[in-house]
Amino acid sequence: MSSENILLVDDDSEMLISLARALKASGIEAAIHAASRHDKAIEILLDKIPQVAVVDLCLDEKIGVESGFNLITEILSQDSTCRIIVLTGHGSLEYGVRAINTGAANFLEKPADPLHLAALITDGISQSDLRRAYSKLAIQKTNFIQSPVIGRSEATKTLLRDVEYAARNNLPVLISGETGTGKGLIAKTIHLLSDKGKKNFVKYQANFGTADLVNSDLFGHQKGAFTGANEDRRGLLSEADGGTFFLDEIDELPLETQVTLLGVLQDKKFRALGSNKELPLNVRLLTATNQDPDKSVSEGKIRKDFFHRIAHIKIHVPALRERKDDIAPLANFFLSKLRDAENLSVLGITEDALAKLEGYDWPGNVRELEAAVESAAHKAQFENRISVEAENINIGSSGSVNSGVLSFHEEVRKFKLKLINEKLAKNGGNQLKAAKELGLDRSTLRRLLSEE
Amino acid sequence: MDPDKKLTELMKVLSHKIRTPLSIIQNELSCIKGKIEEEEYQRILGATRSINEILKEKPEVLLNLIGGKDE
Repeated sequence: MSSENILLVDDDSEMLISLARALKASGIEAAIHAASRHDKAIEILLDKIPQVAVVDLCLDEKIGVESGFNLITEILSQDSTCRIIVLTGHGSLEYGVRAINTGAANFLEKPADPLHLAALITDGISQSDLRRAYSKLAIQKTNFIQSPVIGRSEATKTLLRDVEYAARNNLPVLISGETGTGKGLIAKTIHLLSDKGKKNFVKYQANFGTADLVNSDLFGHQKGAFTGANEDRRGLLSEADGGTFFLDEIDELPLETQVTLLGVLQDKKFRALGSNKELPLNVRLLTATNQDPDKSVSEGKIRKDFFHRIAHIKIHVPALRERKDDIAPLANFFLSKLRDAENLSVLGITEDALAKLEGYDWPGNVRELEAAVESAAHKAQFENRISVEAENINIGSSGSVNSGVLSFHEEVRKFKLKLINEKLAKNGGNQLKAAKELGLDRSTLRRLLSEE
Repeated sequence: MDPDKKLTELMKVLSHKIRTPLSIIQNELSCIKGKIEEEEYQRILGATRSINEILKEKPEVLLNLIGGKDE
């Protein structure tokens, strides 16, 4: 089957048939898909991911050329690597300039020479493939190849495709998956591969906070806005300006804040608490939850209108037990990472040990696997390999990990988090106060929380 | 609406309407190239190009051809 796909969109079905025939006769080998309506065009776009779309401007007599411009905008918001060629009977300089400004690559007036159109399509396919290859290469070359996208299973391949797709677009993304699957790393990867990758990535977790505190964290406040607001404070949305804002544990976000944030996302502007000055919102929003998002909506933890606003793209990170083929590559990845970081002499993992790892269900997911490999590697540091015989993997005969044995680093991490969470709870979720009591600055406290 | 303006708008609409069937003719013609005599092919192609050239004219100029607008 051809991996090259072209989408033709025109409200005249005879035109679609004749154009497809002419393009085939002109030597186009790509699979040609035709749509006479906007919704059908988007359906094909999402299913076939065409490299090129040839779009007529007038798809709906009632709306006129706006129907074509709307479609161009939607195609590019769904897939910015798709090349668009406008082919219209409404040829004018005004429409031509507008089409190019909207993101079309070419503007042709009907009737167009099929050979000329075929040449533009061939060029468009190459351009689109180049952009897609660059995006893939960026994932492979980046230092941010992280555990959630490592593996050979079908589930991981799908996840990788989803991440690439999300990185190419600027739409809000909702990432779901069990604890420990690496949702935060997925969010970071999307950010780094997107056109906002060089700007700030700001993460926020709303638990422990009341609506006022969370609103203050998000939008900032002016001195005197509420009791205890002794100085002006910039909100996290301002800190993320031009970049990405990652809101973790979205179902923990107070409902009042969801209402406020919904308005902000719609209007694309916000105000700091106590301020009349409106600030422009210029961030890409990524959210995550370890719950079933649909269930959270039906239980009223996430407002339906808010959900629709934040979940334009949904990515599900599968549990490790659903992708057991990935356990071996992941275990080797963690071992290699550890070897580089701590100069360990452990070279590998025996087949028996890998089989043992693959036989376990990993309720703590990738994070638990990483901890198990770390612990095993430290135990095996005077041997060549992690092996079952040497009993350096903490999986008991019942097939469960001996959770009482954690690596030194894991123990320290958990202790730090416990300490921070205690201080946050004591201070009603106020990170500034908690950080002060711990002798840390606020950014260090946030970094430690984001490592969770 | 001014009658001249009305006629100009009508010509614009007609021009847009004709372009799609004209495209279809050109597309179909490209499919049968090689199956008909080259001379025959060129004659039909030439005719479609002539129609296209006419459509590129400003509506006002076309109206002048039929005496629809005073000099």
